[in-house]
Amino acid sequence: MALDVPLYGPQWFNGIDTAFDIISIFAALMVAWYARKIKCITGDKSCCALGHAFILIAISFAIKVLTNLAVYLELGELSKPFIIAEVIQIQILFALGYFLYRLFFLIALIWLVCIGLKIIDWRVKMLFVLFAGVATFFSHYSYLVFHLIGTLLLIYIVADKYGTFRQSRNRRSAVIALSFFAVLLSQVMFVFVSIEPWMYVFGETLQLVGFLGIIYNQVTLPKAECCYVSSVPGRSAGSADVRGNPKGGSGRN
Amino acid sequence: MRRSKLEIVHDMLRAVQDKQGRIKPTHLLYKSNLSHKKLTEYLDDLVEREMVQKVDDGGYQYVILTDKGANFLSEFKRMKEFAESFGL
Repeated sequence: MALDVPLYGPQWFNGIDTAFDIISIFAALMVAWYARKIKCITGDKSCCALGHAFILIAISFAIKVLTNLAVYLELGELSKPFIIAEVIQIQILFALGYFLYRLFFLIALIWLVCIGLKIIDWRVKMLFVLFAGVATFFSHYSYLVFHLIGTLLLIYIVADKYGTFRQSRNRRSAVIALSFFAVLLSQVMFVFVSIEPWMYVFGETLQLVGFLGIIYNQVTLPKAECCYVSSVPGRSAGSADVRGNPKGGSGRN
Repeated sequence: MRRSKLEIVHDMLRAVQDKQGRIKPTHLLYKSNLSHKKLTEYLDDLVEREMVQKVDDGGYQYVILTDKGANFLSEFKRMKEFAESFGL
């Protein structure tokens, strides 16, 4: 029986791709955490949706990392000659892991498209999620379906981010547009993996560059201004106590 | 240019802070450049989020800035740049 677990790219790259994906998880979680923080403070729904999209990206990459690690470990422990039950177990593990990774990743991209197109109707969103489910199902038979749909969705996202950059003309929106463009190129590279395994290395590297751009944008955000914090613990300058007396004030303006 | 929700909230809280953290709703209406209906909506939302409090003092109603509101002001630039970078 042939071992039909399609480990992508050159063998020396196995493990390095996992490290790249872990960095991507970190980037996605940074954005999700901050978007969530803004949502909690302001109740801004678009920030909430952005947070959800990046959480889904983090989950999808986490599933991919765990699946790859599990498959590498299982392959290492495989007896020779292969026992069919062991091989089937690895194949099921791989298929299930990649199914969930693709499903979550496509839903995340759809979420980002919905933010860009300002779609708020839940029925439309659910229709897209259904579409992601169907696309993921067919991706099981040909991984090309997943990467082609990913490419199409990323074209929408990059066009939206480029539009944002053209409107604002600021460096940050350019960084985000370029980051998503790098992720888009990575999806294009993944389409050609079956022709040239090196494309997987290029694709993973471009994807890493994209997420590093997102990390760069996050870490270079201006620091919170500290001029509002007074020396009195738990009290800020310009804020008032619970009885309505302003800090240092007599109670009436 | 149309202000985002983030900017409106910032303008309101900044108006309160500029008055030493305590302002009458009428003054806030002028300073925040909103209609009465919109101001009420935003104010109720801010009260619910504990960024401001409404208090009665000497027969007058005041809006006061809480620590949470002051924290928002300190984080505002960071939040605004984040939201703008993603086109939100």
